[in-house]
Amino acid sequence: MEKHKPWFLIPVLALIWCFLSGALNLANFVMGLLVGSLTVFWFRPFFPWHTSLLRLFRKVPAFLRYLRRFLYELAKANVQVAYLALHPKMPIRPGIISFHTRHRSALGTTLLANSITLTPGTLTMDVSPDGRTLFIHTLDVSNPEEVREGIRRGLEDYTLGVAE
Amino acid sequence: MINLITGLLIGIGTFFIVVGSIGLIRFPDVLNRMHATTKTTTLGACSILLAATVKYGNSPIGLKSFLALWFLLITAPTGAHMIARAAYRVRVRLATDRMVADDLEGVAERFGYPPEQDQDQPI
Repeated sequence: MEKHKPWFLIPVLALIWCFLSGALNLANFVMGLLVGSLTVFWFRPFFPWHTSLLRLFRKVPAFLRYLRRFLYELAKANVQVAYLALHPKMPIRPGIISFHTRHRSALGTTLLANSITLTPGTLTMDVSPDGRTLFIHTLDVSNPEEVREGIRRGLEDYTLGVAE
Repeated sequence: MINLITGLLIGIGTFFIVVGSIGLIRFPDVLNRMHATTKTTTLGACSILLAATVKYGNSPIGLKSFLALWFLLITAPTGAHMIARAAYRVRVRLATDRMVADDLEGVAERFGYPPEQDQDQPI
């Protein structure tokens, strides 16, 4: 029990409390800290991993880089789906490909899997029990190696910076 | 100016949600349809929520929209993932005539997938 101390969550919960109560001010933040402390105290056995606020802050630049890349990919994905959905012949060659991830943590794999789902032509379907292999449904698998390389360079490089 | 941005965001959001719905009807099988619904509704709903945030700013409506935006970004792909996984597990009939690769075939049994069912009874 001792090693689970997710105290870094308290300010995060306080911020969410501010957003929910509808005004960003000090009174709400203090109230959020109180409620957050109680929540974290009660639920700390359920929280599997620990990090410090400092380590969290150090991830911010990597996260912003990832976010920029992700938003660009999300926009591209939407234009692609719009094009395919409105194209009279619908030129798709769907298939399921496997992808070996370099992620070793559950958080990292989850982040990558969710990002893959929201980026062009790919949708995570399943993860192998050891968490090393993702199975990805792809709208265009004329060249599976190209799709894998695209995910590796376009997303995994960024998510590795955030969550490993 | 704020009205212009808001209008633009709502326009983009509406367009992509409409296109996503068209895609949902036109794509051949459940997995392809998930592509249409997840991507477009995420961007569509997010830009509409962002429009609300821009318009109302530091008020209950604006802040809650901003919060909803992040939760949607987390939950939408997770939901799609679970639907796709469940569909494959219960062996919903796929548009196999157009599929070119299936790396999950064969290894699926090892992951605790139910064994092959009678294909005469599609779900």
